[in-house]
Amino acid sequence: MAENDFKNIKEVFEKAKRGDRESFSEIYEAYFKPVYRYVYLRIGNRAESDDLAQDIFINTLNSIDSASYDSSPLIYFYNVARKSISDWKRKRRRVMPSDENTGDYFNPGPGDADENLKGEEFDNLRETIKELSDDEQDAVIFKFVGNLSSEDTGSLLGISAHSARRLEARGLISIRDILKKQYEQQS
Amino acid sequence: MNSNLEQKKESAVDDAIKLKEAGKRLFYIIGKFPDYESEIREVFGIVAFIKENNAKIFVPKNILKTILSKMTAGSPIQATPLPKKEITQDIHASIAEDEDYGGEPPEIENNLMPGKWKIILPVVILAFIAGITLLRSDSKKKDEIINQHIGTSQNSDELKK
Repeated sequence: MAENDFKNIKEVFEKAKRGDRESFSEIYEAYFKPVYRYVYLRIGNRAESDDLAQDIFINTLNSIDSASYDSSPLIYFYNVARKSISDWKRKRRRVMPSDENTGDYFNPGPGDADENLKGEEFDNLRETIKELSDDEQDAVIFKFVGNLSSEDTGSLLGISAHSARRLEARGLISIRDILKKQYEQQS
Repeated sequence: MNSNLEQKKESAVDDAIKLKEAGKRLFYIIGKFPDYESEIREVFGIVAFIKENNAKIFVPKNILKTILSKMTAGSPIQATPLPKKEITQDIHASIAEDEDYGGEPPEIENNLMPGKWKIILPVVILAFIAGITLLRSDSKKKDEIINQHIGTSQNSDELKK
C-alpha cells in the first residue's frame, strides 16, 4: 500500500490541506486510483465518475482529521465515497446510462486482441456487479478491487467481519449465477 | 429449505475464500467442499479475473492537472465547479424528478418566462381580435349611416321633383 511509503503521513496531509501542490500530488497518486475505480464500478459512467471522484477526493482531503491519518486514510476515502454515491443515487433516482463499452476506460495493450476481448468481458462483469445489492457491490469491490480485509470492509459497512465475509461470498455467488444465466441464454 | 441450501453454499464459498487467502491449494479446498466444486471453481475464476483486470481501468490524469491548476499555494483546496451547462442540466433533471413525485417545481428564472408568455400571448391575441371586431362594427355603422344619408337625400330630391 502506497500509504506506507509516506514518511510522515500526517505532515503530508496537513501540507496538502494547506495547498501544498507536491503533498497533494503524493496523496493523489496514493489514493485517487482506488477511489476512482470504486466510483466507476459503482456508477459505470465516465463523465459522472470523473466529477464525483474529484469531489470525493477534495471533500475527503478537506474533512479528514488526524485520527484518520493514524488509522487508514484509504478507509476514510472509501467511507466518504460510499456516502457520496449513496447521496448521488438518491438525488438522481434514475439509472445513469452506463458506458456501452469500456472504450478508453480499459487500457489494453496496443493491438492486443485478447486484451480487447478481456475489456468486453470486464465491461460485462461491471454491469453484472451493478445488479447486486448496494452492500454486496461494496463488499465485493472493497475486498477484491480495493484489497481491503473483511474486517475493514465490515467496519465500512457497519457490520462484523463475519457478516462482511458472508456478504462477499453472497455477492460472488450472485455474480456467478447471473453470468451463468447469461451464458446459457446465449448458447 | 431453499434458503438453508443457499446459506450452506455461502458458508462453503466463504470458507473456501478464507482457505485460499491462507495459501491453501485449489485441490485441497475442493477436497474440503466437494459438493460445491463448480461454485468454488467459478467464484475463484471471477475473483482472479477481477484482480487481474481492475488495475486496467483507466484513471484520468487530467483531473489532477485540473485541480492543481486551480490551486494556489497557501490556500485550501476547492472542488472545480462544473461547467454552467452541466449545472443547468442537473437543475432541470432534479426538477423533472421532483415533478415525478408530485412536488411543486422550484421557480427559476428560465422556467418563469414560458409561464408569463402563456398568459401574455392569449391576452394580446384576444385584444387584437377585439380591436378588429370593433373596427369592423364601426365601419358597418358608418356604412349604415352613409346609406341612410344617401337614402334620405334621394327621397328629399324625389319629393322636390
